[in-house]
Amino acid sequence: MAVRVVIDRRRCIGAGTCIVTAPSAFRWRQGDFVKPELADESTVDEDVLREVAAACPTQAIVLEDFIESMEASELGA
Amino acid sequence: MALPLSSAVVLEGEAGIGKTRMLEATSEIAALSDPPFWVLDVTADEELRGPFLLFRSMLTSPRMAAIAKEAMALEHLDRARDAIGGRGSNDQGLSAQEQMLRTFDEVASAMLALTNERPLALLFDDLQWADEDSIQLIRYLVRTMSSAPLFLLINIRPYTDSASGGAGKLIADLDRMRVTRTLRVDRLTRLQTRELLSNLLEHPVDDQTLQSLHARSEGVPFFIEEFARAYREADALQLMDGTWTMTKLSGPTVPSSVQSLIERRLAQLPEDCRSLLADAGSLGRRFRLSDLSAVLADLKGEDPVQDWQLGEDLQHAVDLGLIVEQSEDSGFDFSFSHEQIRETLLDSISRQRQRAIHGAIATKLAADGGTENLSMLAYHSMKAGDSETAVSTALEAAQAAIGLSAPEESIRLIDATLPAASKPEDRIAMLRLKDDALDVLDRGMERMANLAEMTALTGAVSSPALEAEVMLRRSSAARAMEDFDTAAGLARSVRASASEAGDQALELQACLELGQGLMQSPIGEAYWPLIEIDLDTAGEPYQRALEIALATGARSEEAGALRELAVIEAGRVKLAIKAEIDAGAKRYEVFAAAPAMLSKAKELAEQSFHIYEELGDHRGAMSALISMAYAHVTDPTPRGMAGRLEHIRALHNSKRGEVTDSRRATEDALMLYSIHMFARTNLQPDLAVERGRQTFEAARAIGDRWLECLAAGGVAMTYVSFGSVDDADAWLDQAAEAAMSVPSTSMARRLEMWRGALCALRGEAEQMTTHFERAAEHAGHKNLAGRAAAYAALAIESARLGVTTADDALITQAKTAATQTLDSIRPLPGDLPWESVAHAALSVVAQAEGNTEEAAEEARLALSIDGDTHVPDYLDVLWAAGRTLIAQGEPEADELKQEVFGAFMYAHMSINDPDIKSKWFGVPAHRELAEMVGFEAPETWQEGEMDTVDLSDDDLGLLRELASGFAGARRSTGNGHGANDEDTAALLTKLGVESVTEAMEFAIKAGVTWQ
Repeated sequence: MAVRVVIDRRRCIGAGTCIVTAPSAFRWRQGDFVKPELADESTVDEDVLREVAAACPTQAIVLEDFIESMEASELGA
Repeated sequence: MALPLSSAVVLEGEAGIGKTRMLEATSEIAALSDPPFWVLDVTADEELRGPFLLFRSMLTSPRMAAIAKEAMALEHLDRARDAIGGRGSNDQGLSAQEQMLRTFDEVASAMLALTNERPLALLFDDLQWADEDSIQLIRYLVRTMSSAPLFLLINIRPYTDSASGGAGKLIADLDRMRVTRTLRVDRLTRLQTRELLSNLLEHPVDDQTLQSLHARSEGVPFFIEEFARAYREADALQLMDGTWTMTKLSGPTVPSSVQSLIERRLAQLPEDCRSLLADAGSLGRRFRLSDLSAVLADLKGEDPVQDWQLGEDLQHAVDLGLIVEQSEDSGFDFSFSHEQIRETLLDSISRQRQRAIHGAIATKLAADGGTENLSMLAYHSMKAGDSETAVSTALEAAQAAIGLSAPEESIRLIDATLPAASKPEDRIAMLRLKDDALDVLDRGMERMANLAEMTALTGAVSSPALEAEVMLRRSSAARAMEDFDTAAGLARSVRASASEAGDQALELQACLELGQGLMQSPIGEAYWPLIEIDLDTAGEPYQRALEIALATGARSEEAGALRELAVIEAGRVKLAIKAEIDAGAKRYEVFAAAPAMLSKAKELAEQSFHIYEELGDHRGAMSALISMAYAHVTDPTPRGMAGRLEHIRALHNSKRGEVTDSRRATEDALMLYSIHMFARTNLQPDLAVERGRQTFEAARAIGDRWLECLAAGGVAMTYVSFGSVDDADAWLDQAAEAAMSVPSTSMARRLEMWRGALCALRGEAEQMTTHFERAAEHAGHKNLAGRAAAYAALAIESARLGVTTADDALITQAKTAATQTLDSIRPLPGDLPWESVAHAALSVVAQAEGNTEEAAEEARLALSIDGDTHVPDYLDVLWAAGRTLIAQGEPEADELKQEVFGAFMYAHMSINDPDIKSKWFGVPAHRELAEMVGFEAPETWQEGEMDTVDLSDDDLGLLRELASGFAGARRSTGNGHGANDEDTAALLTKLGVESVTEAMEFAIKAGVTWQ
């Protein structure tokens, strides 16, 4: 089981705590108005991603559980 | 290689994980170490077994002979070979057991003779296949050579496919004897796979190639290597501008080497078990025994076999590690340990049988019902050849997936079943859903490809409505690709046709789409329009959309248009404010006037909010809510931002009547924590302490010990930031206590980081080093970010302590840790503060070593940090850069002085609590830097000095709000003290000042600032 990170840009207000907490997982999105984007969430452990989600003031970071290599096989893709 | 006498390391990991490579590397290291080891390695054979076969192979090898000759132990070797081969004159009259002991003795003597010259390393690969006699002999050697310099490395697979199971017992015994350390070798993460591929292919790979290779190999290194080779041989990879790029979407078939490895493992299964496992493979990567039982009963027309019986029948597969048991709460019984195993098994059963199995499980799933089974039902129906069910179920499942915020699952379902959809209306429905899912994921390019097929189908069904829908979807996709002209052009075209035809519903949709194209942002996402947007042009279609929505009762569209018109209105105010400031008006005076200017924006946003709430659209309501908060102009500093966060929190809580108390408590705790974090990382330690304490209490009240620990640790680190040792210590104890309830490697790492920081503050170098090193150890090689953070902290704190105590060892340690930081971050993406911190440490080190040029160069590298985002690290960088660039009088010195001065002025303004402010400026590094740039904090009045002004509590409240630029927000929401422009004017008169700016200065001197 792993987690997938989704940034809900509708909620994001650009506080930047995600980037401060996990700078290798998040970065500023170029050309946008203080909105983050994913750099590589696999560079930090799941607990750090949970902390990032907790520290987001508008709860714009959502973690979804998923099984990395299983979905494709089960869905026949 | 520093090892104690007679020690052992066990490497445990699945086939292909890289144990043999590690053994080979160990062999090389041991042979080259000082003193060098005698190295003897041997691999147990999967097929061949016989008495002492493992040691026979070792003792008769040419390397053994060469070593024995060099060690002058040929005589011992001959006796050992004779004994193990059952030869020799001394065996007569001995019992079998005595003969075995004699053999053990002779081999042990030979090994001991070798250790007289050098330490000996015995390396055993694949011990799970070793014969029982050899395993006993290893046990004997460990027991009898305990004082000899003997090192054992044993490679073993974690599952018990040894004929005897003796290897596992040996490992357990060695563990009990406390001479062994077991290292589990895990699969590689995506990041590690990327690094391995870069090394193998001598160039980096692009993301798509990495995704494909990592998914197919699942992080097993042997598979990664073999797949990479197969891709290259099949020309599926092309070196494009120095990066390997996939040229074929599917990639080649499974390499024969991988196939062969899996086949060898499958060959150990009894035929019945293999056949059962292949049937199970048709059910999916994970499967339930109850499903397997039902399917088999259906196929055979017999009563179902009990689940436990099937479980026992599959036990061999479990023992071989081909399948692994799943946890109770997963809803499945077993999972194949690798997808390639399942695929190999599926190749071994006929297509007809596979279809029959899929048909049987589809029947069962359909009978079970429930939306959670829909995707499985679609998949199995498809595989069973039942296209109609597959398509209808996939449509339902894909729709449900989008509803559950799982757009990627929706796309996978549609891609998998689209080939089975033969009717145009089915295909259109599927493509429409896929477009919806791609829209959520913001994948404009893929949307365009998908819509091209949809456009082609519009001809087949001849529907103008569908044609208009596809054009609007293309407009939306073009907007996602930032092709705003195309987006607006398509939407205008549809709007014109709809208007001409009197189709108000379509015109409404076209106007909303046009508005989004012109605003360059989807509805609900923008809080401030971009400066280059023509607000009048963008506002017109939204105004028209509002008219139509009001006329037709389209409430959701009405809310959307209102919300966007509110944002546009706020944008107009923003432009007006900018114009006034550009014309020389004082910032805070302009901000004070902003609320009146924003009243229209506020009214529109509130209307939107109420409609969204009526409709139960929480996401829309939140977007309107936040736009309201954003509409309140405050100062553009982080303190102002924190004010906005607090404001959003207040609005959020006051507007949510339908939320349960427990949910509200949880959300409130999280909101408090987020403000604590924001304040902590933006130089507002007083606010950070307060909100951190509140988070701690709130987390305790709801029983969330994880959050409790983070809050306590956060408060402790805030105290560290302004040098309050005892408080930090007490809060760290609270954090440690909470952490005991939620133990994890991450939490352990955090605690070590926190302890390390506190020890650094105390000047306890040794303890500090231990804590940071433990933190790096907890991070391991997978969490490179955690590792980099630990080394960066060790580097800068060692450098700081090293120069203040003139300790050369610490300076050296700082250099090493900085290098380790830079090594750790090499494969990481993002703008990493640790890189700058490492360079900052190296700058201090170079200066301490007298290399001023290098020190300046490292300081320049350190200053590349994004100081606006990473404020605490930025202060470390400023300290180090100040020591070199300013102290050495480098060309950047004046500019840097201004930077430091600005940062300190900002800190002075940000920290309200006088005690905390005094402590913060008293931190040695801050003091040193302040002296370097000549910063002196503006004096605040002493107690009694402001008594000449008679201020009521309301006056003080308003003054506090003015000082933070927060008054406008409070007044415009009606949540404040009812202050208005008259109140402000009266207050200015009382204070004897003429402007809000002067009132702010008054407030700062009086120590009356917002908290």
